[in-house]
Amino acid sequence: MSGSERSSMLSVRGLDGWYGSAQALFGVDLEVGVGEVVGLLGRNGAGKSSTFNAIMNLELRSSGEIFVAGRSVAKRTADQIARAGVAWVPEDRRIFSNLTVRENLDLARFACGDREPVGVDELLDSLPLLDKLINRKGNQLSGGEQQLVAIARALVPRPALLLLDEPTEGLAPLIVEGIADAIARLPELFDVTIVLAEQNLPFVTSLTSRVYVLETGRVVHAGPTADFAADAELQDRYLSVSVA
Amino acid sequence: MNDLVPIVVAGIAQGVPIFVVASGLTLIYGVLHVLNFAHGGFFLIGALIVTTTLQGPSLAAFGLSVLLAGVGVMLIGVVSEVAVFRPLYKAGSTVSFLGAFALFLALVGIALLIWGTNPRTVAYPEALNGSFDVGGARVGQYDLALVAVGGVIAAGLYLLLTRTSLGTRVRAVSHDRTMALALGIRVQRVSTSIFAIGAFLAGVAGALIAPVSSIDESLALSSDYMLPAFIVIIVGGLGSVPGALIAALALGVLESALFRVAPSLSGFSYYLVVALFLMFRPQGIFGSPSRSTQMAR
Repeated sequence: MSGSERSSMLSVRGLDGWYGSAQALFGVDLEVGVGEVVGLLGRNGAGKSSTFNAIMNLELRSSGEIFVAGRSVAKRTADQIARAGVAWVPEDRRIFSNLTVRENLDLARFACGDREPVGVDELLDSLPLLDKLINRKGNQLSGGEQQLVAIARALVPRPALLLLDEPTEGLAPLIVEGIADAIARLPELFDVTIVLAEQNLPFVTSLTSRVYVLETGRVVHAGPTADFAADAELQDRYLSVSVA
Repeated sequence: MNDLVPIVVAGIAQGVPIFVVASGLTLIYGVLHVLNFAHGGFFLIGALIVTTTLQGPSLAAFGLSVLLAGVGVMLIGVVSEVAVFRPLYKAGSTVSFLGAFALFLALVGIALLIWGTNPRTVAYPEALNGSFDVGGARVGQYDLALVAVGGVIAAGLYLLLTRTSLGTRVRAVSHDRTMALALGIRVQRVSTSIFAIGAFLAGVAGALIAPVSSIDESLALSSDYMLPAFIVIIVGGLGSVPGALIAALALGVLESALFRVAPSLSGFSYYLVVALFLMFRPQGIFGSPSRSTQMAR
């Protein structure tokens, strides 16, 4: 089922973005339906992270329309957008290294708004690997553990929309498998819609039904993931990789 | 031993007000990344408030005046944060520093308008106007009281930063303001709260030194308190409260020892130590080269 056939969770229209005077996004349009897992593909610098930054109103100036569950968030501050139900897992995870994992998770309660936060026990049931990490400080975690904690932290406020930015970046293949398994279960366990920015096509293919492909800040392709995964010419043109 | 005890006690007593001022400075730097030059103005006004509000020689009256000074300066701090600093955050740390300097001048000017230019003095509280025999040496009661107050403030700050929700948010904001925002934390409120606490501490520090110092506008940038406080936050590591505590007490004892052993060098110890740190460990005791803010580390 495409985004347009479901009720809309995320609607981005004509999104432009600038870092200072340098324009990074050019009229980006995205439609994501409730409960979908949608991929955002592109090379380094294509505009994936910038799109998320613009949605969260962080680190770049933007214009355009952004609706989450039908409500405009374009003029809101990042903390208001978080409380409106949008969670962001950045590319570099940004775990608070001076806090314990438990404190990292507790902090996310401030994004709950009027929603009941996910309890630690519920998180441990869903992500059992967290159990042995819970009292460690952020600076004592490996890259894969940080990614797991970053995803768990994002889930605490029961977000309606989860923006996952390159969760496989810098991780070993075995860890990537574990992360993929965890992400695959999230929509059902936490009733969350996911937009997944990635360069790793096999990873995106295993998790998403549709993809948007970005190049130099523009959406250059949109369609079913299976079609993109089967089209070597499109992959060569926009990703310079091919499916193994 | 007879010499050591009064040197250490006097040094710690000298370090405590500096720690109290520096802890506010370093808290504010850790969260807002602003070197609040106006802190000297807060410190001066705290001392001046005591000269006005102190009613009688009792310890209770003095304690009440100290509290009023802290609360009064805290209110000034909140207004300053909202009116002066908040509009400048996005302009960067240099502009914020200039704003802090302008605020410093304004606060000193307002203090002169209200309290005039004549130096003021405050008597010791009656109950603390004596000395103890400690290890065969005479130690002032007020000095010991300062040490106790410093201990209470250090413990209070530790508990605030490590055991409260505000403390966790403060540490998060000091570490990564952007991620804190993205987690729904009202960073603006955290900033205002921490500015209020920092200003409160400056007011309390000013009030605490009122009985041991002549109080006039020069106090706002005095070489006895304010300049050492700036040095202490550099030596301790910008943004580190434990670093400020250790640096303030260690430098206070060093200064006290130099005063006894080599009086001609007295006054230079702070500058010598900060010069050495800037040359060999510019991030300070608890700072790290990559990240200078290490709240409650």
